[in-house]
Amino acid sequence: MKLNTASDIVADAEDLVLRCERLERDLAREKSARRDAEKIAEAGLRALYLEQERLKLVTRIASYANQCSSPLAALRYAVDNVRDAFDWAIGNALIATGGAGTEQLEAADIWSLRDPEQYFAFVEATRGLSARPGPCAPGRLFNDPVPLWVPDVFSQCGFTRSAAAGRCRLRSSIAVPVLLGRELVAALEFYMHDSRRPEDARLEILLQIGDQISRVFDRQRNAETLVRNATTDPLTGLPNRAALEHLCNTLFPCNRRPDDLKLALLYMDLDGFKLVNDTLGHAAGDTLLVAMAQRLSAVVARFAARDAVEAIMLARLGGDEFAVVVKADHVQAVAPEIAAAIHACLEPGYRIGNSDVHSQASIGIAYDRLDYAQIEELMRDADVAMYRTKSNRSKSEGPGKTSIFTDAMRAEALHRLELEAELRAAIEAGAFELHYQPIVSMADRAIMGVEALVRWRRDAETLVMPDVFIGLAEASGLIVPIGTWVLREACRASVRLRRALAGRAALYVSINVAAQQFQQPGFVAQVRDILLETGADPALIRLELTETSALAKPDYAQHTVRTLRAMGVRISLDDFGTGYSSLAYLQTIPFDTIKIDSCFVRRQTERDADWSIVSAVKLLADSMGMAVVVEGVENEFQLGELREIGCRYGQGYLFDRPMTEAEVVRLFA
Amino acid sequence: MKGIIFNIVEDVVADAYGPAAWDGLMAATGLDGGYTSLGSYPDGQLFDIVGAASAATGMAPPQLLRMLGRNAMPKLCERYPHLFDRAADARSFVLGLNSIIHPEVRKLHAGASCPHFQFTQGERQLMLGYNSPRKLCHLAEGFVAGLADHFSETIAISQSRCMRDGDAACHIELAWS
Repeated sequence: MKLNTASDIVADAEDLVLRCERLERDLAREKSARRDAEKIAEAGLRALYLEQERLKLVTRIASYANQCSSPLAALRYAVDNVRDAFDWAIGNALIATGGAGTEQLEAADIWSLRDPEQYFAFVEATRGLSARPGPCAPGRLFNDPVPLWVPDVFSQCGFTRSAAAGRCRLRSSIAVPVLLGRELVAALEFYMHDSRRPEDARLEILLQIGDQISRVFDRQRNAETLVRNATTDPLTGLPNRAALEHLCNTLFPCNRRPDDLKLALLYMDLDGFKLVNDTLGHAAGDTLLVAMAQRLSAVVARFAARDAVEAIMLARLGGDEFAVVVKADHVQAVAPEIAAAIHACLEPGYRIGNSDVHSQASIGIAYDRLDYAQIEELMRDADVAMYRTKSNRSKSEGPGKTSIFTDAMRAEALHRLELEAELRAAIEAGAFELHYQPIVSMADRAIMGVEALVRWRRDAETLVMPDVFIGLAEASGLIVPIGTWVLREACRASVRLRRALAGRAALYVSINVAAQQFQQPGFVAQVRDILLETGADPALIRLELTETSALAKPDYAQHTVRTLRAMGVRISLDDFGTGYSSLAYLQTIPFDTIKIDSCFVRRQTERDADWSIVSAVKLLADSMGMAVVVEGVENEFQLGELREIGCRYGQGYLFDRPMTEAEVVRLFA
Repeated sequence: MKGIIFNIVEDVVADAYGPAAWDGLMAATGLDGGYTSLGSYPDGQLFDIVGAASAATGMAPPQLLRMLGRNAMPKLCERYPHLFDRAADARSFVLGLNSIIHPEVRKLHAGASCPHFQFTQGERQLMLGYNSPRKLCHLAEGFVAGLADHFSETIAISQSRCMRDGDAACHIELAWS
């Protein structure tokens, strides 16, 4: 047996220490290797994930493009999905127009935005864009048809949207070509806030996507060639726009003498068509068009039989637009007759499925004049006259109307364009103000709340009332950003009023919401965001919706109103009785308040009063547990009668006119 | 539970209690302790480790988990700096948990089940609603404390409701001063 001496033990201990140190070094090396391996694995997993997502994106778009017949729809789908997948700020699409030598890319009004409000300025700047071939994207794609990454958009020579891009804090862009063979037919543009160079793999994918979209263009082009050779509208069997243009060109007299001016053009637009499409579906809309086309044809045939009429033709221009071109002696007497006959033939209703549908036309007539050089001018003016008829129609009008073109109308049309441009600028600048009209308890005139009413601050001295610009705003869609501004500002005012009147009163603020605004998919989220952002108390906020909001998509309206009420906001039905007045939706949409329109109150005088409608609405509201606010109360007589009926709340000049926020606070001083 | 959590806990334990501590915990729990960051391990193992650490240190599990969470933050930041670059302050980091942080986690770990937080915001407050069968609310509190350290902010952290007390969800209240 070997005995360990003291030095042996020390030597063993030293060995052990060395072994330990060695093991610790080995361990550290293993740990380090393991860490490295994990890093490599993580990088691999992340890359795999990204690759799979990209593949899914391309597949999704290819799949959609394969069954898509509309290039615009394919562009829209691609712009949306790509922007969302890569989380870029803005995506939009452009279409190439013009022949060799005049080619350009025009903005196609196809958008995808991460944040609609933040990027409004850039959207507007792009709206009328025509990009010529040149050093600046997207025009550069004509000569350089590959995905182009521009790290700094401002450094481009000829970039016309610098100011708007700067305001939206955009830095870089990618332009993607859509090529049919060698021809550029369309382009996609994406904008982002940072300048990180995209990987080649990403640009490759964009090129593939462009390729998928080009196939849709290809298919459409083939179809179009067939259609262009035809001159008949497939749905109604009537001559189409091409046929009309052809005939008009033939009939347009080359010798322009007063006796030769026998040509008139009637353009007509059918009312209520959109509503039928929305409520009964597109198949019903088509049926309606066919039925109308038959009636119109019968009228035109009758006139064709007259000796004085040299030529007459009815055509469908597309959508719900029709036209009649007529060449006749004394055409200025004949054309109005034709218009009257058309109104008469369209007056009886139609039975579509289980529904009775009524539709009239808005007609515009333009007569050939000496100062027209080309047939296009006559067509343009007939269109202007028709638009005039359309926009003059109020909600409660009777049979269709006709307008005959005058120079004043063209001036008006130009004025409308200018007004629209001014309004867009106003939206960007936030050049609006809110006035407030008190809603009172009619028993004691106590103010319960205020309705927010928007005014446009055009300049230091001019405040423009809504009746001047709201119609235009609705027609152009600008009502949506205006409505958003109003919503936000009214919520802010609600917070200020709450503070200013603390302890003395708790007023609610009632805010008008346009149908277009209500139907935006993000509306509920927007209301929620604005409430959070401003700190407004939902219990003190009322939203006023019109009947149109409820009608077009009743299920959506019901769901949205329920969600809004769940947030604490109350909902009023505004202008009740003046629109389409379908009562079915009242059963399903939980409104809190009905506002009876002023037209049912204003005309009542002591000598001649009929409150039956107001009473009926009050009964209706009572039975459904809704409160009633009566608008347009102007005198003590009306007040007395309304109180007799049992109406509790009112609004109108008898109580207060619309006033500024400061004036509202002073009322409680 | 993904291995990365176990790795971080091991590092924190080593820092706080020395190089032999982890081995001691493995001995106490009987676990073999080979955790790779990308692997998946039963949740129960983490609870066993916490239990053993609690017994060894005398610290109650809630307190221990808070400590672990707080000290884990710098290590997570070192390992995944790109997740921390995006946020300007603790509030934005927390608000980005559902939309930024956890999706990043799922990119690496396809089946990871990360809890979904509900947020209720005030001007200087933020309430996290946390509802997970793992009931690791104290670890979450620790993470937030670690964030406060990282962004040099002062955040008061408390729970007004807790699943461990029988409530349906934990309400973790954050208050900035």
